[in-house]
Amino acid sequence: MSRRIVSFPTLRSLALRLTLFALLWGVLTDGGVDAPAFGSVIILTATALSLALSRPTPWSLIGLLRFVPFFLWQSLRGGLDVAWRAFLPGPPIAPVVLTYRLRLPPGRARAFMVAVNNLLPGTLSAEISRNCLMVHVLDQRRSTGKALAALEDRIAAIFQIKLTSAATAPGQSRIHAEA
Amino acid sequence: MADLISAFLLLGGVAFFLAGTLGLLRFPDVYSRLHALTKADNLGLGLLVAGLAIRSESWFAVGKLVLIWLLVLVASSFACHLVARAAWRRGIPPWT
Amino acid sequence: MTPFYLALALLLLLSLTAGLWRILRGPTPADRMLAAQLFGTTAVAVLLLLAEATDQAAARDVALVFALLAAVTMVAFVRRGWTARPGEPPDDG
Repeated sequence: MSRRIVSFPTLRSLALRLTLFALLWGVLTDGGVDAPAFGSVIILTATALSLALSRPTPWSLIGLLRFVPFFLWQSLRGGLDVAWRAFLPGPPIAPVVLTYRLRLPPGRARAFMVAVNNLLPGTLSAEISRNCLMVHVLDQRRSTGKALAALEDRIAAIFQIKLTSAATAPGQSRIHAEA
Repeated sequence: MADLISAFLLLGGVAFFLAGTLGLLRFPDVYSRLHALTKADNLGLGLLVAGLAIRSESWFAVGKLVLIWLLVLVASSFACHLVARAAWRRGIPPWT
Repeated sequence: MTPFYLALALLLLLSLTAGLWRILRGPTPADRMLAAQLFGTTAVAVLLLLAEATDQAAARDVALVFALLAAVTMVAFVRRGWTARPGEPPDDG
């Protein structure tokens, strides 16, 4: 039986969520100066509910800060890539469905990967089954496997997950075409 | 100057919306149309939000614009996956 | 700047109308849902432009609600309307 009732991670996420909801309330009410008492009650209720409903997960601020510019840049590339294909005659696409063996464990990190993958240039998450992500690729001439492994590394850095297997095992590819 | 940058970003944003719709009409199957729509519209809305944020009167207004973009981003990205998965489970074959 | 914003909003509305064609054509229910996704994102963009053009900050709140509703609509459609099959494996992730 531990004497400590509140552990450090819980305290950290309490402070974090309190700040987050206060900011959110400020944004929604243009500063929240009209009804500070009402606002405080809302912020406290929201924080309590969020702590009750979702357990704190370990995450890294540095990982997140490094992810943001990467994500913005990839969104820009993804949008440009698909826009020029839409305008050109043809249109010049060569789709293929690939299977990628995920290293991220099931959970938030994996859900995050599935969502972000849709915004990266030329990839679309079609299905997850048995630790494999089926990716619809708009242009099969692209090296998708490397991009997916790099994305996985970045997401692992945010959620402080150690990926078990190496990014590229010799003689064995993480990615292969759907039969 | 800020007005010029803002106008440029807004025009760019609308251009990407048009590109997304063009892809929606021209691409051969539901999967590639998802590519076009999700990526182009999210970039389009992102540029639009950036263009409006530059001219914004307060930081709270900027926050609200960014919040709207993030919400749409999360919604359309998961929606994109769910539609693709539904199509895949239904056995709709990808165009090759 | 107001005519400029209105012109952009009009362009977006035209693009939305073009999306209607995809709803009519289909051919699969997924294609129709795609157009709904287009409507959600474009409606948010149009509302943001109108908020700026008419100086009505409240329109931004409408855009915010639209963004939330779009998410709920999509998930409701995909989970209930279209894929619900008995014995389907639960989601991971």
